[in-house]
Amino acid sequence: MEAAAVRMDGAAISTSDDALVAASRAGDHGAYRELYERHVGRLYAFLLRMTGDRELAGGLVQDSFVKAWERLNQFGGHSRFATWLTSIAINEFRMARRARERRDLHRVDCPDPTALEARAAGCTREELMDLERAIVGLPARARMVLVLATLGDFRHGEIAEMMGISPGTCKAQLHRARKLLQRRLAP
Amino acid sequence: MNDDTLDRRLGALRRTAAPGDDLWPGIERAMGERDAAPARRVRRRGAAGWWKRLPAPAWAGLGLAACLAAAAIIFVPRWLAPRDDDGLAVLQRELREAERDYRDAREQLLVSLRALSDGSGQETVSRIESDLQAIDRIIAEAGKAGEDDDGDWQPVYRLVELYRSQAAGVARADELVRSVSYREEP
Repeated sequence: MEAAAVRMDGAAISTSDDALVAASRAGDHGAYRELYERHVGRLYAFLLRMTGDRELAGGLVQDSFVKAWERLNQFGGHSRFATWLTSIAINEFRMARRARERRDLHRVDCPDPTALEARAAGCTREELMDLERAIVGLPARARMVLVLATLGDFRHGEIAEMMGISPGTCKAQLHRARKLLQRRLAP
Repeated sequence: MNDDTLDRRLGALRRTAAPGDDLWPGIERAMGERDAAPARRVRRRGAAGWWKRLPAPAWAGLGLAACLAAAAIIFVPRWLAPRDDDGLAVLQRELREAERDYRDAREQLLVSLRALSDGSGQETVSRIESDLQAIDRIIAEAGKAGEDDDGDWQPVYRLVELYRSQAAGVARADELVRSVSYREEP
Protein backbone atom coordinates (compact mmCIF):
# COMPACT_ATOMS: atom_id res chain seq x y z
CA MET A 1 0.00 0.00 0.00
CA GLU A 2 1.32 3.42 -0.85
CA ALA A 3 2.34 5.67 2.01
CA ALA A 4 -0.01 8.37 0.77
CA ALA A 5 -2.96 6.04 1.12
CA VAL A 6 -2.45 5.39 4.82
CA ARG A 7 -1.75 8.91 5.99
CA MET A 8 -4.53 10.44 8.05
CA ASP A 9 -3.64 14.04 7.34
CA GLY A 10 -3.13 16.34 4.40
CA ALA A 11 -4.24 16.17 0.81
CA ALA A 12 -2.76 12.79 0.01
CA ILE A 13 -5.58 10.93 1.67
CA SER A 14 -8.31 13.08 0.12
CA THR A 15 -7.77 11.68 -3.38
CA SER A 16 -8.30 8.21 -2.07
CA ASP A 17 -11.28 9.31 -0.01
CA ASP A 18 -12.80 10.92 -3.08
CA ALA A 19 -12.61 7.64 -4.96
CA LEU A 20 -14.26 5.83 -2.08
CA VAL A 21 -16.96 8.48 -1.91
CA ALA A 22 -17.64 8.03 -5.62
CA ALA A 23 -17.91 4.26 -5.18
CA SER A 24 -20.14 4.71 -2.14
CA ARG A 25 -22.45 6.96 -4.09
CA ALA A 26 -22.88 4.14 -6.54
CA GLY A 27 -24.15 2.01 -3.64
CA ASP A 28 -20.92 0.19 -2.75
CA HIS A 29 -21.23 -0.58 0.97
CA GLY A 30 -17.68 -1.97 1.01
CA ALA A 31 -16.25 1.36 -0.09
CA TYR A 32 -18.25 3.14 2.55
CA ARG A 33 -17.02 0.68 5.17
CA GLU A 34 -13.45 1.58 4.15
CA LEU A 35 -14.29 5.26 4.73
CA TYR A 36 -15.75 4.28 8.09
CA GLU A 37 -12.63 2.35 9.08
CA ARG A 38 -10.44 5.30 8.18
CA HIS A 39 -12.35 7.94 10.05
CA VAL A 40 -14.15 6.25 12.93
CA GLY A 41 -11.24 6.46 15.38
CA ARG A 42 -10.74 10.16 14.98
CA LEU A 43 -14.45 10.94 14.97
CA TYR A 44 -15.10 8.83 18.06
CA ALA A 45 -12.22 10.48 19.94
CA PHE A 46 -13.59 13.91 19.01
CA LEU A 47 -17.14 13.08 20.14
CA LEU A 48 -15.91 11.37 23.28
CA ARG A 49 -14.04 14.51 24.27
CA MET A 50 -17.10 16.62 23.47
CA THR A 51 -19.63 14.47 25.33
CA GLY A 52 -17.52 12.77 28.01
CA ASP A 53 -19.84 9.78 27.52
CA ARG A 54 -18.81 6.62 25.65
CA GLU A 55 -22.34 5.45 24.87
CA LEU A 56 -23.51 8.82 23.64
CA ALA A 57 -20.33 9.30 21.59
CA GLY A 58 -20.81 5.89 19.96
CA GLY A 59 -24.43 6.70 19.12
CA LEU A 60 -23.42 10.02 17.60
CA VAL A 61 -20.74 8.33 15.50
CA GLN A 62 -23.38 5.94 14.13
CA ASP A 63 -25.84 8.75 13.45
CA SER A 64 -23.12 10.81 11.73
CA PHE A 65 -22.10 8.00 9.38
CA VAL A 66 -25.73 7.20 8.53
CA LYS A 67 -26.49 10.88 7.85
CA ALA A 68 -23.34 11.13 5.73
CA TRP A 69 -24.49 8.08 3.72
CA GLU A 70 -27.87 9.69 3.12
CA ARG A 71 -26.25 12.93 2.00
CA LEU A 72 -23.30 11.65 0.00
CA ASN A 73 -24.74 13.22 -3.14
CA GLN A 74 -24.41 16.61 -1.47
CA PHE A 75 -20.70 16.21 -0.81
CA GLY A 76 -19.24 18.46 -3.48
CA GLY A 77 -15.59 17.67 -2.85
CA HIS A 78 -14.83 21.31 -2.02
CA SER A 79 -13.43 20.18 1.31
CA ARG A 80 -11.87 17.00 2.66
CA PHE A 81 -14.27 14.17 3.42
CA ALA A 82 -13.04 14.30 7.03
CA THR A 83 -14.05 17.97 7.25
CA TRP A 84 -17.48 17.31 5.80
CA LEU A 85 -18.06 14.28 8.02
CA THR A 86 -16.96 16.19 11.12
CA SER A 87 -19.34 19.05 10.31
CA ILE A 88 -22.18 16.49 10.25
CA ALA A 89 -20.95 15.12 13.59
CA ILE A 90 -20.88 18.65 15.05
CA ASN A 91 -24.50 19.12 14.00
CA GLU A 92 -25.46 15.79 15.55
CA PHE A 93 -23.65 16.74 18.75
CA ARG A 94 -25.42 20.09 18.93
CA MET A 95 -28.82 18.50 18.42
CA ALA A 96 -28.09 15.86 21.08
CA ARG A 97 -26.95 18.54 23.50
CA ARG A 98 -30.09 20.60 22.93
CA ALA A 99 -32.27 17.50 23.40
CA ARG A 100 -30.44 16.65 26.61
CA GLU A 101 -30.74 20.20 27.89
CA ARG A 102 -34.48 19.97 27.36
CA ARG A 103 -34.63 16.67 29.27
CA ASP A 104 -32.30 17.47 32.14
CA LEU A 105 -30.98 20.97 32.59
CA HIS A 106 -28.87 20.08 35.58
CA ARG A 107 -26.89 17.20 34.16
CA VAL A 108 -23.25 17.99 33.37
CA ASP A 109 -20.74 16.21 31.20
CA CYS A 110 -18.97 13.42 33.00
CA PRO A 111 -15.31 13.13 32.05
CA ASP A 112 -14.28 9.68 30.97
CA PRO A 113 -10.57 10.00 30.27
CA THR A 114 -9.92 6.29 30.73
CA ALA A 115 -11.46 5.73 27.33
CA LEU A 116 -8.66 7.77 25.82
CA GLU A 117 -5.61 6.17 27.31
CA ALA A 118 -2.76 8.35 26.27
CA ARG A 119 0.37 7.38 24.46
CA ALA A 120 3.01 8.06 27.07
CA ALA A 121 5.57 10.41 25.59
CA GLY A 122 7.47 12.07 28.37
CA CYS A 123 4.33 12.60 30.43
CA THR A 124 2.90 10.60 33.28
CA ARG A 125 -0.47 8.93 32.95
CA GLU A 126 -1.82 11.13 35.74
CA GLU A 127 -0.73 14.29 33.97
CA LEU A 128 -2.52 13.25 30.81
CA MET A 129 -5.65 12.18 32.65
CA ASP A 130 -5.72 15.57 34.37
CA LEU A 131 -5.40 17.19 30.97
CA GLU A 132 -8.27 15.10 29.58
CA ARG A 133 -10.45 16.09 32.52
CA ALA A 134 -9.53 19.74 32.05
CA ILE A 135 -10.42 19.53 28.35
CA VAL A 136 -13.84 18.01 29.07
CA GLY A 137 -14.38 20.83 31.57
CA LEU A 138 -13.80 23.59 29.01
CA PRO A 139 -16.75 25.60 27.62
CA ALA A 140 -18.23 23.70 24.68
CA ARG A 141 -17.18 26.03 21.89
CA ALA A 142 -13.62 26.51 23.14
CA ARG A 143 -13.31 22.76 23.72
CA MET A 144 -14.53 21.99 20.21
CA VAL A 145 -12.01 24.36 18.62
CA LEU A 146 -9.16 23.02 20.77
CA VAL A 147 -9.94 19.38 20.04
CA LEU A 148 -10.36 19.97 16.30
CA ALA A 149 -7.28 22.17 15.95
CA THR A 150 -4.89 20.40 18.30
CA LEU A 151 -6.02 16.79 18.23
CA GLY A 152 -7.93 16.68 14.96
CA ASP A 153 -5.26 18.41 12.87
CA PHE A 154 -7.81 20.62 11.15
CA ARG A 155 -6.84 24.09 9.96
CA HIS A 156 -8.55 27.22 11.27
CA GLY A 157 -10.35 27.73 7.96
CA GLU A 158 -11.73 24.21 8.05
CA ILE A 159 -12.85 24.52 11.66
CA ALA A 160 -14.51 27.86 10.94
CA GLU A 161 -16.41 26.27 8.07
CA MET A 162 -17.46 23.27 10.16
CA MET A 163 -18.63 25.34 13.13
CA GLY A 164 -20.16 28.22 11.19
CA ILE A 165 -17.90 30.83 12.76
CA SER A 166 -15.29 33.19 11.34
CA PRO A 167 -11.60 32.19 11.31
CA GLY A 168 -10.90 35.07 13.69
CA THR A 169 -13.40 33.72 16.20
CA CYS A 170 -11.84 30.30 15.80
CA LYS A 171 -8.37 31.61 16.68
CA ALA A 172 -9.75 33.55 19.63
CA GLN A 173 -11.51 30.45 20.98
CA LEU A 174 -8.32 28.40 20.67
CA HIS A 175 -6.39 31.05 22.58
CA ARG A 176 -9.10 31.10 25.24
CA ALA A 177 -9.08 27.32 25.56
CA ARG A 178 -5.31 27.20 25.98
CA LYS A 179 -5.34 29.92 28.64
CA LEU A 180 -8.13 28.16 30.54
CA LEU A 181 -6.21 24.87 30.42
CA GLN A 182 -3.01 26.52 31.63
CA ARG A 183 -4.89 28.14 34.48
CA ARG A 184 -6.66 24.91 35.51
CA LEU A 185 -3.52 22.81 35.29
CA ALA A 186 -1.29 25.27 37.07
CA PRO A 187 0.39 23.60 40.08
CA MET B 1 1.98 25.98 33.17
CA ASN B 2 3.81 27.42 30.18
CA ASP B 3 3.03 26.97 26.48
CA ASP B 4 5.76 24.38 25.90
CA THR B 5 4.54 22.11 28.69
CA LEU B 6 0.95 22.39 27.48
CA ASP B 7 1.99 21.64 23.89
CA ARG B 8 4.02 18.63 25.05
CA ARG B 9 1.09 17.20 26.98
CA LEU B 10 -1.40 17.92 24.22
CA GLY B 11 0.98 16.25 21.80
CA ALA B 12 0.99 13.13 23.95
CA LEU B 13 -2.80 12.72 23.88
CA ARG B 14 -4.37 10.15 21.61
CA ARG B 15 -5.77 11.34 18.32
CA THR B 16 -8.00 8.35 17.85
CA ALA B 17 -9.95 5.98 20.05
CA ALA B 18 -11.73 2.72 19.38
CA PRO B 19 -15.40 2.55 20.33
CA GLY B 20 -16.13 -0.16 22.87
CA ASP B 21 -18.61 -1.86 20.54
CA ASP B 22 -18.40 -2.43 16.82
CA LEU B 23 -20.57 0.34 15.43
CA TRP B 24 -20.48 -0.78 11.80
CA PRO B 25 -23.30 -3.38 11.92
CA GLY B 26 -25.76 -0.74 13.15
CA ILE B 27 -24.62 1.69 10.48
CA GLU B 28 -24.88 -0.90 7.71
CA ARG B 29 -28.34 -1.93 8.87
CA ALA B 30 -29.51 1.70 8.72
CA MET B 31 -27.90 2.07 5.28
CA GLY B 32 -29.78 -1.02 4.10
CA GLU B 33 -33.05 0.40 5.37
CA ARG B 34 -32.39 3.62 3.49
CA ASP B 35 -31.52 1.68 0.33
CA ALA B 36 -34.68 -0.43 0.59
CA ALA B 37 -36.95 2.53 1.21
CA PRO B 38 -39.10 3.62 -1.75
CA ALA B 39 -37.77 6.57 -3.70
CA ARG B 40 -38.53 9.67 -1.72
CA ARG B 41 -36.81 12.65 -0.28
CA VAL B 42 -34.70 11.24 2.52
CA ARG B 43 -34.07 14.59 4.10
CA ARG B 44 -37.10 16.09 5.72
CA ARG B 45 -35.82 19.53 6.44
CA GLY B 46 -32.23 19.21 5.34
CA ALA B 47 -29.86 21.60 3.66
CA ALA B 48 -31.71 21.80 0.35
CA GLY B 49 -34.94 22.56 2.22
CA TRP B 50 -33.21 25.40 4.00
CA TRP B 51 -32.03 26.86 0.77
CA LYS B 52 -35.49 26.87 -0.71
CA ARG B 53 -36.70 28.97 2.20
CA LEU B 54 -33.50 30.81 2.87
CA PRO B 55 -33.36 33.44 0.15
CA ALA B 56 -36.66 35.10 1.07
CA PRO B 57 -35.80 36.04 4.67
CA ALA B 58 -32.18 36.79 3.87
CA TRP B 59 -33.14 39.00 0.97
CA ALA B 60 -35.84 40.64 3.04
CA GLY B 61 -33.22 41.55 5.64
CA LEU B 62 -30.89 43.00 3.03
CA GLY B 63 -33.74 44.88 1.36
CA LEU B 64 -34.73 46.37 4.67
CA ALA B 65 -31.14 47.40 5.29
CA ALA B 66 -31.06 49.16 1.92
CA CYS B 67 -34.28 51.02 2.72
CA LEU B 68 -32.92 52.12 6.08
CA ALA B 69 -29.73 53.30 4.43
CA ALA B 70 -31.64 55.37 1.89
CA ALA B 71 -33.77 56.89 4.64
CA ALA B 72 -30.68 57.67 6.69
CA ILE B 73 -29.06 59.51 3.78
CA ILE B 74 -32.13 61.57 2.94
CA PHE B 75 -33.70 62.30 6.30
CA VAL B 76 -30.87 62.63 8.81
CA PRO B 77 -31.94 65.40 11.19
CA ARG B 78 -29.11 67.88 11.48
CA TRP B 79 -29.75 68.72 15.12
CA LEU B 80 -28.71 65.21 16.16
CA ALA B 81 -25.10 65.70 15.17
CA PRO B 82 -22.29 67.46 17.05
CA ARG B 83 -21.29 70.84 15.72
CA ASP B 84 -17.71 71.55 16.78
CA ASP B 85 -14.24 70.16 16.12
CA ASP B 86 -14.30 67.85 19.14
CA GLY B 87 -17.60 66.48 17.92
CA LEU B 88 -16.09 65.85 14.52
CA ALA B 89 -13.26 63.88 16.14
CA VAL B 90 -15.83 61.81 18.03
CA LEU B 91 -17.69 61.21 14.82
CA GLN B 92 -14.52 60.08 13.06
CA ARG B 93 -13.95 57.53 15.81
CA GLU B 94 -17.55 56.38 15.58
CA LEU B 95 -17.13 56.08 11.85
CA ARG B 96 -14.18 53.70 12.28
CA GLU B 97 -16.14 51.61 14.81
CA ALA B 98 -19.25 51.53 12.64
CA GLU B 99 -17.22 50.48 9.61
CA ARG B 100 -15.59 47.67 11.62
CA ASP B 101 -19.00 46.50 12.88
CA TYR B 102 -20.34 46.43 9.36
CA ARG B 103 -17.34 44.44 8.05
CA ASP B 104 -17.65 41.94 10.91
CA ALA B 105 -21.39 41.47 10.31
CA ARG B 106 -20.80 41.09 6.58
CA GLU B 107 -18.10 38.47 7.10
CA GLN B 108 -20.25 36.57 9.59
CA LEU B 109 -23.21 36.49 7.19
CA LEU B 110 -21.03 35.04 4.42
CA VAL B 111 -19.61 32.45 6.81
CA SER B 112 -23.13 31.42 7.86
CA LEU B 113 -24.33 31.20 4.27
CA ARG B 114 -21.36 29.12 3.16
CA ALA B 115 -21.73 26.83 6.14
CA LEU B 116 -25.24 26.03 5.00
CA SER B 117 -24.51 25.43 1.37
CA ASP B 118 -22.99 21.91 1.44
CA GLY B 119 -22.12 22.52 -2.17
CA SER B 120 -25.68 23.33 -3.13
CA GLY B 121 -27.19 26.77 -3.29
CA GLN B 122 -23.97 28.34 -4.56
CA GLU B 123 -26.02 30.43 -6.94
CA THR B 124 -27.94 31.89 -4.00
CA VAL B 125 -24.71 32.65 -2.16
CA SER B 126 -23.37 34.38 -5.26
CA ARG B 127 -26.51 36.49 -5.55
CA ILE B 128 -26.33 37.58 -1.93
CA GLU B 129 -22.62 38.32 -2.30
CA SER B 130 -23.50 40.44 -5.29
CA ASP B 131 -26.05 42.33 -3.15
CA LEU B 132 -23.44 42.91 -0.47
CA GLN B 133 -21.05 44.22 -3.09
CA ALA B 134 -23.75 46.63 -4.27
CA ILE B 135 -24.10 47.88 -0.70
CA ASP B 136 -20.30 48.28 -0.53
CA ARG B 137 -20.43 50.41 -3.66
CA ILE B 138 -23.18 52.62 -2.18
CA ILE B 139 -21.09 53.12 0.94
CA ALA B 140 -17.96 53.86 -1.10
CA GLU B 141 -19.82 56.44 -3.17
CA ALA B 142 -21.20 58.06 -0.02
CA GLY B 143 -17.67 58.17 1.39
CA LYS B 144 -16.30 59.78 -1.77
CA ALA B 145 -19.05 62.36 -1.78
CA GLY B 146 -18.00 63.41 1.72
CA GLU B 147 -14.30 63.74 0.94
CA ASP B 148 -14.73 67.16 -0.64
CA ASP B 149 -16.48 68.62 2.40
CA ASP B 150 -13.37 69.23 4.46
CA GLY B 151 -14.23 69.72 8.13
CA ASP B 152 -17.94 69.32 7.60
CA TRP B 153 -19.59 66.90 10.02
CA GLN B 154 -22.66 66.14 7.96
CA PRO B 155 -21.14 63.72 5.42
CA VAL B 156 -19.30 61.89 8.22
CA TYR B 157 -22.47 61.65 10.24
CA ARG B 158 -24.40 60.30 7.28
CA LEU B 159 -21.69 57.75 6.64
CA VAL B 160 -21.79 56.59 10.26
CA GLU B 161 -25.56 56.18 10.04
CA LEU B 162 -25.19 54.37 6.75
CA TYR B 163 -22.71 51.87 8.19
CA ARG B 164 -24.84 51.32 11.28
CA SER B 165 -28.03 50.71 9.36
CA GLN B 166 -26.28 48.32 6.97
CA ALA B 167 -24.61 46.46 9.83
CA ALA B 168 -27.97 46.08 11.57
CA GLY B 169 -29.64 44.80 8.41
CA VAL B 170 -26.85 42.36 7.63
CA ALA B 171 -26.83 41.12 11.24
CA ARG B 172 -30.60 40.54 11.01
CA ALA B 173 -30.09 38.59 7.81
CA ASP B 174 -27.41 36.52 9.56
CA GLU B 175 -29.76 35.79 12.46
CA LEU B 176 -32.40 34.61 10.01
CA VAL B 177 -29.92 32.38 8.24
CA ARG B 178 -28.77 30.89 11.54
CA SER B 179 -32.31 30.40 12.83
CA VAL B 180 -33.22 28.51 9.66
CA SER B 181 -30.09 26.39 9.94
CA TYR B 182 -30.96 25.23 13.44
CA ARG B 183 -34.47 24.12 12.56
CA GLU B 184 -33.52 20.63 11.49
CA GLU B 185 -35.49 18.00 13.37
CA PRO B 186 -33.59 15.65 15.69
